[in-house]
Amino acid sequence: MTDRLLRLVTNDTPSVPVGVGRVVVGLAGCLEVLSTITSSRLDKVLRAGVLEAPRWEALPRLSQDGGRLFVVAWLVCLALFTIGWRTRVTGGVAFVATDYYLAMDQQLYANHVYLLSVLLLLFVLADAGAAVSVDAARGRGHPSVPRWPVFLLQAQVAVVYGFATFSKLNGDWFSGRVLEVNLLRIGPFDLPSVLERQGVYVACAVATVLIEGFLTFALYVRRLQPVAVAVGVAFHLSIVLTVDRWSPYAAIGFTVFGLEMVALYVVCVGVPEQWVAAVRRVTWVRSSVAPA
Amino acid sequence: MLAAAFVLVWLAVQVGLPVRQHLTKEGARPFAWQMFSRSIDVPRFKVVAADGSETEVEDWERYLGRVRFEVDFARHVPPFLCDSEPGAVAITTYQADGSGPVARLECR
Repeated sequence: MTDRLLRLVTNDTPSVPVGVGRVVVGLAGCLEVLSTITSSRLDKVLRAGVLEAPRWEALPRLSQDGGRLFVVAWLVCLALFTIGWRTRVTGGVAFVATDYYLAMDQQLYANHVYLLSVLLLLFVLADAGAAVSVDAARGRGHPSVPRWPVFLLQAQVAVVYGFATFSKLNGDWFSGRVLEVNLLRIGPFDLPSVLERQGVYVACAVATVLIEGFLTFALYVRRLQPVAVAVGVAFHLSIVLTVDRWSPYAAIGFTVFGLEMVALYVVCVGVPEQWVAAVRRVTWVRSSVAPA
Repeated sequence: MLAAAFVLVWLAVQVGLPVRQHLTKEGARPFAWQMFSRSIDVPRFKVVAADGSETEVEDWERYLGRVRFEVDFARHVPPFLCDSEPGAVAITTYQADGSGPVARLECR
């Protein structure tokens, strides 16, 4: 056990999958903050006369004007993290901003924002600017990065899917009621009325638990990885397309969550050699992807 | 050595925090990867007037900037209602099914 832990913290791993994962997480973060800005989400929570629900009372609360500046600064940091410009600094500031946003008011909590915070910290620790980044293009790239933060990123897949599965082991979920309320009934992906049956909702509830349970471990089993990635991508896509849009921004939240998980898939499964070669053909990235 | 300690502490927190939330909290549980796993009920609040009569605040959700069930309503809503509901001398908190009161906050 001790030997394995020591090997974990002293070994390295290829940097390209971490760089690609960083880009995907960064894009997800930018999408989330853009939706925060366009929906005036923070503005509405900071408005006078609205319930204040800070996670800690001692935490300073922004004014509405301060909140508007905050989200722009947050977006800029995430955009710079995405392209890999001074990745550790911009990612570190984006991590602090994300945590401050979550702590400022409990009304701002969302699981995909919490996951963004977790991933930002781990990608910063994993030196995610070592490849596929402006930093690497400027000669600060490395062919490998520390193994241990990458291990923690990989472990996060089991944490998220494992607890999501565990949370659904209740009668309310298996009765189909939760899905009955939340499945889409409007728009281009309307659930056909013939499928609006209790049995269909129950079947979907059971299938969801089986899929999330499968994804909890399958991404760590090499021969199951291709199936797991296909199932996972299809699963998150189906959530985006079929879950009730009680607000115009709900689908964006599900998309952000899906992108964050896809970033973890990349870290778990790696990047095919053909992809690395294709990335190298792009001039500015060529020098950023150091040879393995 | 620092990295090894970080790995162990991080894993303990990532597993321990959701477990703690599941063991100690009812309803929506932030940081527990619960997502849409069950229907969530919210508490009910009543304004206590000087004569001791109680009146339920029917639409307290209008005070929310954003509806998120992960908010600890029982902690944050009573002090807010003390300030916003005229004539309130106390706020009582009831469970979603009307049982209780489970808490009473005296307004100052």
